[in-house]
Amino acid sequence: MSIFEYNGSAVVAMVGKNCFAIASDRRLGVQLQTIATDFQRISKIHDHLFIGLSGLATDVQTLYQRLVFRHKLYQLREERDMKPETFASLVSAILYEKRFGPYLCQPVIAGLGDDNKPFICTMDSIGAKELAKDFVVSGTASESLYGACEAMFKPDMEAEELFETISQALLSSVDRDCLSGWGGHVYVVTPNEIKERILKGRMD
Amino acid sequence: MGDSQYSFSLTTFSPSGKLVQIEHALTAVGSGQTSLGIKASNGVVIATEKKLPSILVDEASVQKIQHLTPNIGTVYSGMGPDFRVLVRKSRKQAEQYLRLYKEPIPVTQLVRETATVMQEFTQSGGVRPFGVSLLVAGYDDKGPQLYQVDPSGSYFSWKASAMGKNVSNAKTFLEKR
Repeated sequence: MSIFEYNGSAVVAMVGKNCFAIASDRRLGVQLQTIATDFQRISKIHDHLFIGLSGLATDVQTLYQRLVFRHKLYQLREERDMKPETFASLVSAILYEKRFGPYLCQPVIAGLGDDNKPFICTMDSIGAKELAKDFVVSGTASESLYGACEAMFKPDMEAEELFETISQALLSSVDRDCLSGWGGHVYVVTPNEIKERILKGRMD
Repeated sequence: MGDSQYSFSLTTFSPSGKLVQIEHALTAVGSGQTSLGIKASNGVVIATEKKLPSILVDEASVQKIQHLTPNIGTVYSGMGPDFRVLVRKSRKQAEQYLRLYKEPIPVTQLVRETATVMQEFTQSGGVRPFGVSLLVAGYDDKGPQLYQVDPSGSYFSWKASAMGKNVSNAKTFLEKR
């Protein structure tokens, strides 16, 4: 089994009209045994920037801690929040530093940039950025997620419709993957508020 | 920075609490050619006296005002060679920031990092402080900015400033206007 499939994960982000949504599953497993059903894969960097990390759980946690550390120092020094594009470049640089002994994670970054324009991107474990205008996926369920998102996505969805779409895409994809699932965790972010919701799916 | 015989700092406190080496560095700056800068509402202007030691010197080869990034420039008063070293270091720092964040470095950050370098040279073994004061002029998201950086590593933001010879006359003129 590949090391990326050791813990199991599914993360997806989608762009809407002046908003974005980022969602993940909640299972933490050790190969075939489920050991937690409330694992947090998506974390807030600041009010308009979220990062979801799929892959090996220990690297997910460590990488998140390193990124929060860097962002806090940036905020203190520059007296402003990091733009999503800037943050993505930072994550890419940090991942590439470990080119020959990488963090075994694939990040999904979602944020609202200048003029509240939504920004999403994903990258591989050594920092190759992949920008998209519609959706990005990552994790063991990524193939199913690609299919589900491609079928369900429409451009310029409002926040509520975006929430429905991303939830359906996530739940139907993790049902096809034995290593991810046990519910979902969805964040829908608009310029004025962040709505966090837990989804109840098939608990297997 | 120096071999083991000079692992102590040459810049040491006097009993009156001053760092005499920095005072001397400021004297070197004060006897350098005049330079000044003025911040306008839509930009910054910096200028310096370019007096060459002889008419035989090729004036095109002497560059007293230098770019640090496409939107930040700098001028100095004091020792030219020290200026060249600082320009080189600052350019490298600006490029490292760009490489990391893919965003041009804000003026304040570049000034802070340059000032940190200058301060390190007042507290390291075997080195002397830089004999230049810099005027850094830049334009970024916060608008036009003008900073002065001294050999001690302290920096100030100015609406208008002058350094070098005849600085008191220059400043009086700027204050009036």
